[in-house]
Amino acid sequence: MDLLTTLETIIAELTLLQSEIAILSGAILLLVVGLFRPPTLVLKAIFGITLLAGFLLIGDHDGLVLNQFVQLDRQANIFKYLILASTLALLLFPSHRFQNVEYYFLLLSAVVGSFFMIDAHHLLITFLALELTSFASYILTNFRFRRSSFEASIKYLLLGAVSSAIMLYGISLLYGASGGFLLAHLPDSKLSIVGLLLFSVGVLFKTSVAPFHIWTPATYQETPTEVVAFFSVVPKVAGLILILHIQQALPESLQSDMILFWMGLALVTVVIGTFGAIYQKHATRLMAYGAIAHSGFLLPMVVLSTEMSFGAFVYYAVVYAVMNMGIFYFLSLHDQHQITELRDFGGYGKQYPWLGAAIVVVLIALTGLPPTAGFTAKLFLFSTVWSYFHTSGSLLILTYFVIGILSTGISLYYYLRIPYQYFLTDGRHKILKVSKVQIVLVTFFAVVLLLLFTRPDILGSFVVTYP
Amino acid sequence: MTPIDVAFFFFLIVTGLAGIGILLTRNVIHAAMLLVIVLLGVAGLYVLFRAEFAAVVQVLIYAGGIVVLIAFGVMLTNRPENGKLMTGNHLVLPALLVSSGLFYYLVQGIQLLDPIATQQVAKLPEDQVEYIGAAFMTDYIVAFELIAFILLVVLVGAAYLAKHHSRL
Repeated sequence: MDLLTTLETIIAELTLLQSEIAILSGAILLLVVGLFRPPTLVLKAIFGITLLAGFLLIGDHDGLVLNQFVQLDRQANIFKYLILASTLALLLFPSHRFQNVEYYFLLLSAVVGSFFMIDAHHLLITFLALELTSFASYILTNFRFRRSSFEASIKYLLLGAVSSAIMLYGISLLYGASGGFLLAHLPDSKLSIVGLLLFSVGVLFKTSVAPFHIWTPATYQETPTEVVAFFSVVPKVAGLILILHIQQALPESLQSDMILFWMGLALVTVVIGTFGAIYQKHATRLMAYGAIAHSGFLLPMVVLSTEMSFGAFVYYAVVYAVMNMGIFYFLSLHDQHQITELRDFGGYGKQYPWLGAAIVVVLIALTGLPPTAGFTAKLFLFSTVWSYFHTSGSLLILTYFVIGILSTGISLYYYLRIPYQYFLTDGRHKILKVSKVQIVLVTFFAVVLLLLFTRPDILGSFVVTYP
Repeated sequence: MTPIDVAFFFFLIVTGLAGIGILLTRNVIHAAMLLVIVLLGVAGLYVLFRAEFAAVVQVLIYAGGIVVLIAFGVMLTNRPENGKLMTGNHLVLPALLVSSGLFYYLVQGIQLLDPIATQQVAKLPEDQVEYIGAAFMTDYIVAFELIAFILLVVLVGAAYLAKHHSRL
């Protein structure tokens, strides 16, 4: 094929990435407009319009394009919508003075990175997409410009750099084992397995799966709360889809080995997240450990390929995004009045009983109890795990099943500490002002969670199923 | 041993020794200078494997650019009283356990492969620069553009962080 026809194919195939290209162009436009120091409203408008454009331009092509570098997966499109919706929800959060051009630019670039994490097929793209998301995250961690946030951001950067280096080393071993950058061609050898384990470190770091979760609590504590909401949903969901695609691309003989690895880590993650949360005194830090535990719950559904695992993952991911947006929205309302430690939350239940009631619903959903969608999500998860246990009979899966249910029970204790402070203690050292609109928004998140419990099939109508 | 073999083992040993040196030295400047030797040694290996372009890039960007950046970083950092920037190692035992376990599996994995490489290394045409340039704009276009955007993000981030530095 001569150069001209190759270029024509590339131009034709690039249009399949129009959603990514739209967001990228929006990000660059934002930078250019930013030179003229426009009011924040203009920035927010460009940010919103870019995301909407990305929303509308998501295609429905299926298959490998651009010389097998990019894998378009119609089924995974729902997660692109989820990512865009979660990012758009950031506009609802209370305004801060640090919301400038760079802030919105970095958010958009992290979204582009996450999209490419979903699209990646070639290992080079996987690596670059992870790096793009990571670099944006390192800088976003620092937007409070305090000494402690500098520290958190440097720790995050160093740990992230090390995990990327390990990942690159893994990729080089995979290249040595298979003679290429495509996972499908891996032979069943020890070298492939060592390479895969090292390669997965980078992905597991982004999805904060133990033992690569160490950055999560410190970073979440110091990052602006709406960025935490972003971190806990967008890169995590994209990373999990990446794991799904990695698992699918592997030859069958390697898949079963890797399932043991993923499930072992998921088990450790659930335990560490649950027990780490018990001793926390800082509200965002508590939620960080909660998010770690949820990584452990999300991971099995992408690696165990049973009939219902993908549907269960879609449901859990959507519910997880709603829950996290809800709780971090609630925390950001308090955060702007310097209410961050758990004991600061005392007594506001009398002032804002409705807000307290709404957040109880969100927290019960995070725990995974009825009558909220969190329960249905956990139910789907555990039935997936159980049905896989039936076909495989693996003891590890059974252990995960038991430990998972037990830690759901334990998590009730720490999630309900905020309502406990809110309603049953009396503190109120600081002044809290919450507007009616903000209470309505928290209620909205709670209502969505109740609605998804009573009518789980609502989601089904959004998930376009392809034959 | 052919002269190529002699050169190969020479570069290999120099790179390895300098790498171990980086681990053992506590002075950051010494580590940076040893890093230059490692990078040049790898560049030598590239030349032996006929990847001239990679070798030139290695010398220009890594040995020339990155190490100079590290040296600048050390010079601009606040010094302790004796004027030397020292580092230390923590958690030596766990690190030793993890890395020796990994090393064991790597050796096993490589030994089991016979022959080690199953595929012929693709022969690059005479004019490597033209070939690589064309590959960037055709096969690797997505990766190329992504890297460009990553650089933009990093640039924006660096400028932003530097601008706000004085407030601390």
